[in-house]
Amino acid sequence: MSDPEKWLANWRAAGAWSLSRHDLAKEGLLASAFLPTKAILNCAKELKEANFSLLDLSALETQEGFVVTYHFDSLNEPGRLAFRALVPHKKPHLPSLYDVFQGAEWHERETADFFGLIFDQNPNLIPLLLADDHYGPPPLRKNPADLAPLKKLGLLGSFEILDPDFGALIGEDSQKESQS
Amino acid sequence: MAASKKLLTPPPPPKAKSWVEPPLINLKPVNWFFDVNRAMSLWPITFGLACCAIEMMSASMARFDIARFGAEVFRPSARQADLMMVTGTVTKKMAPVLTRLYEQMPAPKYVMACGNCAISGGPFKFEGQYGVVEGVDQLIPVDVYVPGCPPRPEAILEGVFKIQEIITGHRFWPEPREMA
Ligand code: SF4
Repeated sequence: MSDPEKWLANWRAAGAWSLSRHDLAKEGLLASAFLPTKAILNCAKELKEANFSLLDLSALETQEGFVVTYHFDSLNEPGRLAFRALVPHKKPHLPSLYDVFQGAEWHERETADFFGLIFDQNPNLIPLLLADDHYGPPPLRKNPADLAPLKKLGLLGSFEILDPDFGALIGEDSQKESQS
Repeated sequence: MAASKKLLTPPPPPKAKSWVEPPLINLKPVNWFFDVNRAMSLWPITFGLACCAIEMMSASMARFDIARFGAEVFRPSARQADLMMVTGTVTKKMAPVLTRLYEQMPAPKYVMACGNCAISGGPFKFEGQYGVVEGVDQLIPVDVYVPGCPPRPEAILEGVFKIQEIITGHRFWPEPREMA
């Protein structure tokens, strides 16, 4: 079992907004964090050096912006890790993980297709699943009126909030056990 | 970005002429002879697009044995095929490939739309769908429609009989008792 504390310490040093410890049996994750977008690339590099691979990359639209989730797993020892980033609607830019995990390119193209996120430094950000001549807004974008606030999403596991601004956004103030 | 622009705009299509050569000996019995030969050795192109393709494979295997009716030579090249069974969902991404393959098939050629997806979009036809061509007949002319989601292999065989009937004007096989 990989040691979640090591990663939590790493993410804390990288300026994470919140950290969560999870029950692997219940939630399928060991640990997760909300990271500022500028820390993503470095954290992914650290995981790559520890022989982790990128499982998937997905996005979810909320009132405050897109929550982009990266899942990692190691083939050497059990234990899945995740980190999330909050990308504002106005400037939907994220660093590309192409330099670290080459396979991220396709995941990023797919996410770009459906949400209109822009992954800087992705060498080939053309539509993957949509037709080249797709017309109109990204298909999974919602009506602004239908969007749920980030508060509704909440945080899972036993979490601690490191950034008070983020705590206000997600509607939790400090260290707390969540019910789920 | 300039590179992706280039990829996004397809080159103009080359000017193509298409024609069907008149028969060498234009006598009714001779043409009929060729037509029967043609009908009894349809060469379908391997063109499974989604779940319906499983039924096409099943129809070509020992249990349903499409070989009894002469249509078992699935060709991986459009240039060697004269029957296109569109088995599955035609996405907008696939549409250019489909038309291209159809155009590469030498005439006389026949198209069978297998399954609700190929006929009308099937379960993927709903308001706001963005990725599916609602019916392959919007792209290429269709000779026989085989409904079902998916159609049973017997239905696909029946579709082949119908195409043989279109070619020769004659049904060679007995009607199944339930249908008669
Ligand atoms: S018609 Fe039904 S079985 Fe056939 S490809 Fe569409 S969804 Fe699949």
